[in-house]
Formats: sequence, structure tokens, C-alpha cells
Amino acid sequence: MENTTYEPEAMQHSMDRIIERNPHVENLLNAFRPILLEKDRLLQLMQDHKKTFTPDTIKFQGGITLIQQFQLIFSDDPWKLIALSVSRAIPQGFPALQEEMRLLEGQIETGELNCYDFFQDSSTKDDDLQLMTWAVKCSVSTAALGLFLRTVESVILSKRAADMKDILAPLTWNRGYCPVCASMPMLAVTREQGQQWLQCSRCSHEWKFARLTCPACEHAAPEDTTYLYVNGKPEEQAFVCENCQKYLITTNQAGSLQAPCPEILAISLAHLDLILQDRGYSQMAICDWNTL
Amino acid sequence: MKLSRRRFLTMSGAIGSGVALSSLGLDLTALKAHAAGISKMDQVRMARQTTTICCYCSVGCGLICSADKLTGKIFNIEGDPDHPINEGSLCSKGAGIFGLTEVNEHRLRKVLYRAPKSDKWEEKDWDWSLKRIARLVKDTRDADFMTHNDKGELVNRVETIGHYGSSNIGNEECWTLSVACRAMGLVYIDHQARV
Repeated sequence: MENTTYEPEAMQHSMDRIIERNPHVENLLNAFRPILLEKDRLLQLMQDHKKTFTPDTIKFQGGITLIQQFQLIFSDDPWKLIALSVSRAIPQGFPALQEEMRLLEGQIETGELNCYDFFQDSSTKDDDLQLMTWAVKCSVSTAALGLFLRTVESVILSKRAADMKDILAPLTWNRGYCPVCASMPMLAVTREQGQQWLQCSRCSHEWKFARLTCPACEHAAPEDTTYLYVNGKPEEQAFVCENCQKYLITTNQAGSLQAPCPEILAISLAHLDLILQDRGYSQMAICDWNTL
Repeated sequence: MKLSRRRFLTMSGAIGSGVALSSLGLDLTALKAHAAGISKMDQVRMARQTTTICCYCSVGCGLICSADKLTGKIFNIEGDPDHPINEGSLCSKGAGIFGLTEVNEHRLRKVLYRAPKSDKWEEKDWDWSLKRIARLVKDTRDADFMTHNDKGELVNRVETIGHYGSSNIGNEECWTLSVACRAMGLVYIDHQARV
């Protein structure tokens, strides 16, 4: 693993700028700040740990994602490094989880907890039960273990997605779910000439998708889709599908030279999540910051 | 134990199920107050987006029109990024197409008439205007209609009336106007989309 000096200034500044403009997201963004910075640092650290695959283009264009074609996590991934870093970053933003993260850190150090084993565990078909079983085993709450595992998983999958970015770029993908990990998008970013790029909720991969089609149910009738927007704030929008009752936060970043990373953008628009969830719609992808 | 891909997918559902942030000890009062404020001040708008085709020329660029669901009025028109012809781009005329909507307060809503040698515009109704246009066209055509040119060839034309079409009308309207003009014998027919 390359030992490079990590310079988080750019990311810190973009978060500071957002808080300055939107003081209402200060608590939320500051809670996730250490996690996002740590994820960014780990991805830079893993630059040389590259793994690529050659997807079957016919299957791919037919909607079969990479995760359905290949195994995307490996035992030689730096699980311990990632897990330790994540367990130390979480309590910085969520002080209430300090004790539980300290417990996890100890178990990771001794080798008692290996996150790779969690993803390999097929002892039960009930996913909630598996998380509960592991939470009991680790003597932490399911909420804490869930947040921890989601972050660890996100680092590994983001690395795979980044490695595959150039290989996937020329291939056609016109589905609403992520071509890498099959997850739903958490955010849509509108860029130059109105092109819409969906941002994966798990692996941070982005792909182009039709503006007027629902990524969740692929319904495209204008009478069943609505755009919610806030008066005077053109960058704050949401796509709402009346057919499946789901929404997707959308932000216009056309002309923006240094757009913040998608996670930061999504967190900065969490008030739209609140408004839409109050109106009875549900988010397309459940993320840690949009379960309000 | 080998990891099943499908298993990985379903497993991820479990850890991706999310937990309410308040249960992780986070204070969301400011965020909730902001969201409530926006809703209370009626700042949230719902819009419908539909696709259409630019009416200016035969290229047929795709457009997305956004209309407020409450008032039904268009508040934005932009290039359709998913349209195979223009992929979101618009020419300078297409980019200004929003000016055609009723939002444009400079758009004429009544007929304005300026009498010969007058320096004032007068508002006129359509009945008066159409009758006057028809009268002038008829009189000019009757006076200047040519059946043969200087070489004695049959031409059946009027050279003293020209028609300048609007680029704000559709292809079908253009066709109708063109047929009407040619039926009257006009030869000077042009259209602003060509300019």
C-alpha cells in the first residue's frame, strides 16, 4: 500500500462553503465529515490496489451488472486497515457511538471481527437476522454495526467502481440501477446541456440516465412524474414518481467548475428529503443521511 | 466459503436498510426547522416536464418544457439531453424560445396599426385588420397581376407583394402559408428560419 500524504483541504473547503451557505445542514454534514474524509483518504491510499474485469458486453447491455458477473470483494482487500480507520472516524461525527466503535476497534485489532467474513456469511437467509446475530456477537447495537459495515462496504465498492470507470465508459447502460453494484441512485446531478448523471448510493459510480424516466420503475409518462423545486433555488430539485411513489434528489451543477462530491451534495439537500418524506414519498436509495 | 453474488446483493440490502439519524444521537432541529420554513412559506413548487419539438426550423430539436402544476404556466424551456438530434444543445433562436410563451410581457397581444405618414401606433381589432389586409392584397394583386413576362412566357404572378414568414410558426402552418401565397401568384416568399 502506497504511503502518500493525504491532503483533505479541497474536500474540507467544499463542506465549509456549503455550511456557510446552508447553516441548517451544519450538524448533519459535520457528523458525516470525518467519515467522508476517511473514505476519500482510504481511496487515495488504495490507488495501487487495482482490480479490473472484462465484462461480458452482451450481458452488460442487457442489464446484468458487474456484481452479478464478477465477485467484487476479495479476501486480500485491506479489510483491517479500512475497518480500523472507519471505526475511528465514526465516533468523531457520532460521539454517541464512541463506546461501540471502541469495542469494534478492539475486535478488529485482535482479529475477532473480520468484515470480509460478514459478507461471506450465509448461515441465515434472513438479512436482518444476520446483522442482529453479528451485532450480538460484537456486543454492539445493530444501528452502530450497520453504519460501520455500510461505510466499510462503500470504501471497497467505490474502489472497484473507480478501477472500472474507464472500462465501463464506452459501454451502453440505460438502466436506473448502478451498473457496478446494482444499487439505486441517491442523487441525480444535472450537468452541461442538461445531461443527468445518477450517483450510486453504495459505490459512488455515476452513469448517464434519461431525464424524464423514473430510475426506480422506469416509468416515463409525464402525467405521473413531478419535479419538485424550491422557489429561487434552481439547484434544489427532486424528481418524484407518482407511479412508484419514490423520489430522487436532483441538483443542477451545470457550469460548476469544482462541484463538491455527490455525498456532500446529497447531504446538503437533506431538507428536501424531509419535505418529500413528510408528503409520503420514499427515497430511491436509503442512505445514512436520508433516513430522517 | 465462496461468496455468492446474489447473496452479496441481498446481504447489502440488510446493511443498507438505514437507521433513523436521531437514534444515532444527532440533533436535526435546524434541518427540520428549515424544511418546515420552506413548506410554511409555500416555497415548494411542483412542476410537470414534457418533451416537445422546436418550432423554428426543420432540424427538429427536442425540448423539455417545465410547467407549474398549480398554475399550468410554463416557467422554463431547455434542450432535451436525451433527444437524438440535438442532445440538449440549442441554437441561439431555440435557446430563446421561452420568449414565445405568455410570460414574455413584450410580446404583442393586440394588433397595432400605424396609418400612412403617421408616427403613432393605434390598437385595432382583428376584424378591422383582416378586412384591411384582404382589401390591400386584393387591390394590389388586381392592379399588378402579370400573366406574361417580357419574353411572352406565361407566368401568372404578382411582383408587388412579398410574404415574409414567421419563424414562430410550425411546419404545417408554413406549408399552408406557402400554398396560399403561391395560389395568389406571389413569388417573393421567404421565411425567417432561413436567415
